[in-house]
Amino acid sequence: MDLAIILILFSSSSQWRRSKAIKNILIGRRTVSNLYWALQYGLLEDFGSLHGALPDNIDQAVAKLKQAELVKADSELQILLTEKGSDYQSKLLASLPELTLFAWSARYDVFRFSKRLNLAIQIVSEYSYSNNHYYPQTIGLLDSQLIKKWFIQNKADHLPVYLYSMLNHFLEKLSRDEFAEIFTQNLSGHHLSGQTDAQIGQTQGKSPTVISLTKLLLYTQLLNELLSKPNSKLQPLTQGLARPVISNSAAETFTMFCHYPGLTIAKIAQKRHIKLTTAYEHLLEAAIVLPQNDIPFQRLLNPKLEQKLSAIQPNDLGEWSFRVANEQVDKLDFFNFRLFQIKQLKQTD
Amino acid sequence: MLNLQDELTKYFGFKRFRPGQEKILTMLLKGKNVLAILPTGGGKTLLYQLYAAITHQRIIIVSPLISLMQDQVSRLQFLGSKRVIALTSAIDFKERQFIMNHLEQYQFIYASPEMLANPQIMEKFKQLSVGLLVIDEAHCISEWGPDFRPDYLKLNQVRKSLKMPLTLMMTATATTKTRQDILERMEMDQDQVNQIVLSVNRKNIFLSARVCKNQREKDDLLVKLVSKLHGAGIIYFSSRATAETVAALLNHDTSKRVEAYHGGMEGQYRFRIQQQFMNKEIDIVCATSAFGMGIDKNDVRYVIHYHLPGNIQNYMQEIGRAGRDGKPSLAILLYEPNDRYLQANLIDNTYPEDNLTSYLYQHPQVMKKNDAFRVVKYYYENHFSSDQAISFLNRSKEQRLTGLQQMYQYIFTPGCRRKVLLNHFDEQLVDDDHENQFCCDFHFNFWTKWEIFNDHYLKSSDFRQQNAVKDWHEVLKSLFLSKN
Repeated sequence: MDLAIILILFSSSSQWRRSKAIKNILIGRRTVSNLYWALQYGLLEDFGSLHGALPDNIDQAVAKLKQAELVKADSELQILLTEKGSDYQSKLLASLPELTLFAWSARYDVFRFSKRLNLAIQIVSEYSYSNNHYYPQTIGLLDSQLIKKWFIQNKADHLPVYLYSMLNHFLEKLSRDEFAEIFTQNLSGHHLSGQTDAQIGQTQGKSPTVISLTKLLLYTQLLNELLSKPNSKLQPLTQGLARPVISNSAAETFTMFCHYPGLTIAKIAQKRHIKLTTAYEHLLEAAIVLPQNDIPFQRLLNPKLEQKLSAIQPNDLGEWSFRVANEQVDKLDFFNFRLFQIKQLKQTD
Repeated sequence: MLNLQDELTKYFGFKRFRPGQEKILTMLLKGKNVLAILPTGGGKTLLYQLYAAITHQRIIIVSPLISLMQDQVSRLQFLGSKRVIALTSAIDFKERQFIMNHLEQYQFIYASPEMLANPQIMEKFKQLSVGLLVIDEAHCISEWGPDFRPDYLKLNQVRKSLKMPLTLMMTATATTKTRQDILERMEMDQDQVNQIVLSVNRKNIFLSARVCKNQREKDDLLVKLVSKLHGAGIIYFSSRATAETVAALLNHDTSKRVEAYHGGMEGQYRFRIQQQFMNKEIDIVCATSAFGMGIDKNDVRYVIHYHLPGNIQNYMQEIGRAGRDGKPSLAILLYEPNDRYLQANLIDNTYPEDNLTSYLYQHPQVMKKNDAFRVVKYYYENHFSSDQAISFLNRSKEQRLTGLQQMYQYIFTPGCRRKVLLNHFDEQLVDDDHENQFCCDFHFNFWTKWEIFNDHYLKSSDFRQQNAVKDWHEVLKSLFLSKN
């Protein structure tokens, strides 16, 4: 995907955003810093939605956008949409399905689902023509096995008719035919090679990135529908796709902290054989990604310190650096500073 | 008495064997080991597939390239064998566990030599009954070959561990010296192995090469050629980026439908390009050597090398993808002076400097993290001294440079190109090879008459499929045949 287009989509005209952080948020590079920026930018729900889909050329992408006068950029590659950039963003949004679906593609591995469904469609298509001699798509051993098993279990049950009706129904419901075209042009089956994103883009006069995003959002929508129908024949294709909101290790630290109030964070780190700093990071991760009511802020954040910080916090929390706060509050540590910011952001959310 | 022709028709629907196939199968069915030199497109896969069909035994195929193995798995599946698996470094831990737990269910097991060097995996393999051990690309065993892979040297041990099963060693390209070396490395006596050597000469491929002044001239010539050459073509590159750039150039400057293909592209993308090429929806693929190994497209009419390959063996393999249907086809090699540096750099980047090898010996943990040092790692783990490793690496580098030198000789030869190629494989050109002018640009003034040659010899097979965009309702209907 073209990183420049993605940056436009997730930038703002009122808030300077770190381009590297936007990229890291979308690919789901799980560090406390990236999670914090996701919270700050209102992109927490999109964390990891483009996992594995973005290239690494952030400098080039920003330079390209700056040259096209779509963004203003500072030396640290923070970007702000210009008026022209906002217009372009609006155009992009208008050419795509509902972007709120991204939240779902962050929670489920939609790319993996799309590969499974593509193989399933190919196999059923060839089966409907009684053709046994074809090159199946390679999608990884375990997923291939899953599809094979699914096919064997269901093939006697009018699978071609079922898949046709299901897809037909899904595509009929889409608001625009061009989306249905993108979805179907990409499929492979009997005597149908399937088109690449660049080829579809050429036919439709759109960039390959817009085609890729459209596909992702459509597969997300379809997955979403299938998940709400536990009796669907396609249910096995949706197995094991959910992504945890919090990393396992962070969840373990957080659970210990909640269940054993007598344990200090240092003691938890010791018991878990992790560094103290890692234990702090785990608690910050939990504070960012879990619902506000699940976080025992009263235990984590000293009320007096919280009062002090409240008194000096600037209007724009994003502009408030630890260095400045540290000069004003004696013995402030980064954990408490960040925790305070997280709590404030969650309250205003 | 088993009639092999009948078996061929029964299992695969073919009426005739390709040259050498029947003889090799007969040997194998008599329980004799075989070292087979078959030209590219000679039907190597069918050999062990038919053997498996007749004997119902398990086949283990050792193959050096991951992409090749995956292609082969797809091909076997295409041909109707479903119990096929590839065990390579490309699979993750969970997948490997799954395969190990189900190993007995597979009839065809492809494995990279690196995987077989793993003691735990080998333990599992020892428990299997193996009907035939196939060593594909057997020239990789030979240190005299340009593609030497250290882990191939352990294959003699692998064979012993598998209780010396019947063995078929195959390659498309091996000189006499390499063949001897293969047998020595496998610890097999000459009289234990039947060598079946078929000519590597592909008479239906016309050979030509052109030295251009610079890249500009090369690009211009390529555009001219591609605009007019009939039928499907493959253009080979050493660089992924150039493959993409030239694909874009050809799409822009010619009416042909051209796509790029290389290992850096996403799997589903590559699948679609392959399918489109096979289904005649695109005319030309601009590819790196990753393309075309397992895909059986018979009607490729020409192969153009935009960059010269590293040696004559590889060149033979790659041009061999043209004209598998036996009809007249064309191989063109385009060269410009800067190409020399590209290849020399590739070789330089492959081999560590002497002092780096010494450093790696002193800091072996560095090797574990980087696959680029696998050859040095092999020498280290097999207790060769640092000096020995340096000497082996230098010798190997010399061989690569010699291989490249032989490519230059091919390009700049003032005589018959076919003779140069065949000499490399210790094969002589027979007179009847020159019965007509269909040999190379020494015997026929190709470069002034290539358009006539094109119209006369290169026939595009049947119609050109159009990529008519169908309405989504039509696509959906054509995907699933309704049997009302």
